[in-house]
Amino acid sequence: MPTELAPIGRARRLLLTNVAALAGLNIARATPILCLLASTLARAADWNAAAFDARNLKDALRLWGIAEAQESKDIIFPSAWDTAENGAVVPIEVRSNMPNTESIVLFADKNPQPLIASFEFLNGAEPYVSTRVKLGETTLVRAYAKVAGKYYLATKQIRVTIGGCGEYEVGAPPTGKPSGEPMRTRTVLRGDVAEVKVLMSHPMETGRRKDEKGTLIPAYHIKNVSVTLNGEPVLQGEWGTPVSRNPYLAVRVRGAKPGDKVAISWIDTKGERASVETTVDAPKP
Amino acid sequence: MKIPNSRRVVTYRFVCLLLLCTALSAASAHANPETARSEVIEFFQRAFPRFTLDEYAYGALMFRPEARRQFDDIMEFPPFLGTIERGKQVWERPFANGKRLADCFEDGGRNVAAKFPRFDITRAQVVTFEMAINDCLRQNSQAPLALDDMNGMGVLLSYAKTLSDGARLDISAATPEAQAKLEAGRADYYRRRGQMNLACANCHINLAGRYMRDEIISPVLGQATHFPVFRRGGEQLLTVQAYFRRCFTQIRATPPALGSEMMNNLEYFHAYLSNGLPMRASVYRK
Repeated sequence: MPTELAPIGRARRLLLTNVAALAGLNIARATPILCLLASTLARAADWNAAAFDARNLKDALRLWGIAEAQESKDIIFPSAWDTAENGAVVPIEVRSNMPNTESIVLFADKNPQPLIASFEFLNGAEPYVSTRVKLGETTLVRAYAKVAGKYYLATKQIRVTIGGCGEYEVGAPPTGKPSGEPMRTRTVLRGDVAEVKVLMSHPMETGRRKDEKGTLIPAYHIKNVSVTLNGEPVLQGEWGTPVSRNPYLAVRVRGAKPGDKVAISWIDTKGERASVETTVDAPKP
Repeated sequence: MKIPNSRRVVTYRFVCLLLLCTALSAASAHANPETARSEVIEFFQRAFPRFTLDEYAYGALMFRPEARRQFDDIMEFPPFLGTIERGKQVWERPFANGKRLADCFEDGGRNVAAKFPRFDITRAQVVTFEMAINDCLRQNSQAPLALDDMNGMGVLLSYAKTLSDGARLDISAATPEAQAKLEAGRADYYRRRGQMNLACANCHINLAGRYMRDEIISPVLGQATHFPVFRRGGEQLLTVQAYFRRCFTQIRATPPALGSEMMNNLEYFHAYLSNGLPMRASVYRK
């Protein structure tokens, strides 16, 4: 999107599409879009619970609204690992080289809940994301990129090993509460692209772990993440439990200058919120 | 069952050589600890000539470049920074008398962990860094921390050791008394025990660098550079002796208590082997 134009928010973009569809008397197409528009307007804490709760890939894809997707070589895992060193924190980095990529959605086929997270890019955000995820076993990781309403797909097989001495020791699991620590941020400016790295503090309970007494610790995780640049949203994320404990997120925003304000905020499944603001520093010589 | 068929294991090339060394050094009861150490180093250099000694600080990660890249990637912004921060608060929190833990150690604790464990001549015993911390607490009328309390001692160490990040381990054993403790630790390191009849050395010297099921066994060399470790993506923190306890349990032996003389001597020998290697604190491991 050219930077001199006023940024078009998702809602407005949909409205435009909608008007265009209506103008073409394409009622069949317009009606679902109208419904979607209504839901988008109430987006503040929008979270596709059904898709995140889905226990198999087929359901997760269907509930997310991905009917079919074309494989694309333009979706890249820049630092793809063949084998995860640690299934609890597998760094996943995805970039789309397709112009106007609207969002990237990650799935892991064999995870108990295959939908990992979605990242919607707005207002000059590069279609790039880096995070860390939990992979329960060797699995295909899927990155779907949405361009002009169509989904494209790239996959990466990642081997997860549970080795000889790598199993859990019986002992007190960490408390399933956010420690209340502030988010930590770092920004790096390269040219006019600012890379914002954030480390959040959250237990990201899967709902499948047991405490010392053998009672199940209920699922508890961050569900919505947003990143803004000078108040304009650049990234909206919907996250599920497969995002690693103390989540890490890196995004890249084009058109940033030193002194710009970046704000990151999240809301979890209990309605707890946290936010942090940081300033884009001038690149170090 | 985590141990490969033992018959097959003994056919490995270097095992025979090592067993010979072990037998020889066990035969001479007053082996010089420095000899024991250089034998271990020689063994590894012969087995893995492509690695420098410093690379052993990576542990088993050094054998898989991809694992090492993931480690470096995660260490750029590790998920356990918050825990280290909590340790820092304890380290710098003033006691009732206004002093802090940091004041008990030279230079606020910078690079001191690299000299632990050390032999205390007046007490005639090995003093670990944990014990020195507890000594400080007692001197300031504070309750000492339980050695197996990872939320207390573990968290504190996870910060205190970062102050020695990059410092080279400098474990001394100058006196015959100190060398006797080191020798006791060495003997325990090579002693078979437990239902599986394994010694620490069987896996972490003889079979280091080889696969056990799907996991590469880490060499003893370099292990002491990076404790305490965060495991499972930062969820589980373990001090070196708590880790030893795991090893004992895994080979189905009864672990000695944390802080017992046997554990301390074992840690002394364990750290001594990594002398000269750069410390890396605090890190995560699988």
